[in-house]
Amino acid sequence: MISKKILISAITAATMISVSANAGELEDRILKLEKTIADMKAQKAEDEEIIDELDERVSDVEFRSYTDKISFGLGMRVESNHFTNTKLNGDKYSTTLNRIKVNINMKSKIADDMKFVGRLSMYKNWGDQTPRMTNLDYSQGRRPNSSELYVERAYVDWLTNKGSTVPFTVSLGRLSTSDGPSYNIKEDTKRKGTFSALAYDWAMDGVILTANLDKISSGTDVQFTYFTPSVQDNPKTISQIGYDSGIDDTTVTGLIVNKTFKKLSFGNSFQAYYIPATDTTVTVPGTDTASGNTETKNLGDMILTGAMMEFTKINGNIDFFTHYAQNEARPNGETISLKNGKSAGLLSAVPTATSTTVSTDSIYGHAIWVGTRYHINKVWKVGAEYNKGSKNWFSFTVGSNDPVNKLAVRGEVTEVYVTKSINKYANIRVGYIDINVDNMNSGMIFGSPRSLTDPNVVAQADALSDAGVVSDSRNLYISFNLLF
Amino acid sequence: MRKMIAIATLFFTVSLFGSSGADLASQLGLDASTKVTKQWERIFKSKRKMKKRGLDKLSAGDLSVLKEYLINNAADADSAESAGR
Repeated sequence: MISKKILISAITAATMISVSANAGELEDRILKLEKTIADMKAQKAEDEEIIDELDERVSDVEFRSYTDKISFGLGMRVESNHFTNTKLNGDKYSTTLNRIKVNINMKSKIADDMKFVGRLSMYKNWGDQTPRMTNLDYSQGRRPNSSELYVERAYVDWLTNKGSTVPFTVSLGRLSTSDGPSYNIKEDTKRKGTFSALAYDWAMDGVILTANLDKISSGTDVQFTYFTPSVQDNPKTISQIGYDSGIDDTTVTGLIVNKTFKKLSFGNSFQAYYIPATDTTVTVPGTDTASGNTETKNLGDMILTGAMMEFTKINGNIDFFTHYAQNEARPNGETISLKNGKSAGLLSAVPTATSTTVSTDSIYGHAIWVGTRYHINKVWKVGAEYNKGSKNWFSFTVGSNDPVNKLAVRGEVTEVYVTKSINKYANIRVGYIDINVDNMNSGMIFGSPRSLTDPNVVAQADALSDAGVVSDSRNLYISFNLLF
Repeated sequence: MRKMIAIATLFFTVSLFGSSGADLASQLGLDASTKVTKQWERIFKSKRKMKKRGLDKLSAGDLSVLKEYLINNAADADSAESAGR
């Protein structure tokens, strides 16, 4: 009995001691917990402050992204060309031409099915004191003029039926009709235009309808184009109603098929095109030079047909392209009077000195253009190009990227160059262009091109041009190029 | 000689028809133009971010091709400019 009481007392005492000990520990833990909760509350308050601050900053970025409707980029080229030219009579002379071009590039995603692309351009020769023809709409921003800023491009791409088997994109405005392939190889950029650069390099206003056939034939699209690069019916008066100048608008329509083989491990691009320009107009200084008047006439149609292919980074380091184009001139019989008192039609000459009409027979010319570039490493690249134009070769280029308009030459042109990347956005290119002219008046749409070996041409050569007829031209150039 | 021709043909074929960066990006649901260059570079530096996008499953070769494609076509990179295309 006694031992039972002792046992109960012992258990009670032990329990009390244990409870007492647990209570102390529990109290410690509660205090720790309270401290942790207090710390967490403080941290939460701090976090909320940070979140509020971040929210404000994100709101700022969001606000800017919605209100900065156009994103801007910068393009710039500063170049120096050193020419050594040889005249037909064998005389040689050297000259230097320095030029600068600045592009302000714009793009904007208006909606999922609509985007805007624009380019403002200033292009001039250094210190140029010569008034130039700024009324040639298609060359504004494309040819050196003055320090004025021109709208070289401004168009909207509108995807009309997204998700359809054949989505159609309507492009409206002053379109990407210049700087087309394969300028991009030498310029070290991505493709910047619609047409093969051998055929068209004008700035033109109009419409392009693109049918994306990707779901039917992978990597294929077909484009229909409509442009009016020369309109004479806009009077200088305040009225915008227009009038009938008696000169038809030059209309450039076209059918272009583009193809890319997506399964190939290197970049590739194919294009075939048929681009008729109807009612081409020519403006020349009038025969009454004292009044400074000009004469404008429709001389006929010029149809360009051609194809190109371009490959980039074959095996990671080789680019290659080749272009072929044919032009068919269809004179309408009309002629335009030249300063020297003679008349000329579309790529054609009058049969006798007193004639005022030309034959309406078609005249054909053609040209090829090939080039390659090798990526030595990420900094250095070397390239070479060759082009050859026949006697009657003509295309709508204005020599926007080289001062001699080498792709228009009725003769042979060879170019070699080295490019050094300065950083991701800038490079320096040093090149050498060798031009051997076979036939006169390269790039001119009127008059019959005559061979430089023609004895009459040799005899009259120096009288035909202020600088004399140049038979060979060599250009050593250096250019700094920036696209940021 | 035949072996050499066979090896050369095989190499050429593989070289011509290897996976392109565009294909890989498409398979992984990545759109290069949704990020700028720096953002793509950050993704390729972070194992966690790569895993999140399934990039950890790619071979070193494919990863290199994909990275080059995404950076070359990032929102701030030089972009092709041809109306309607």
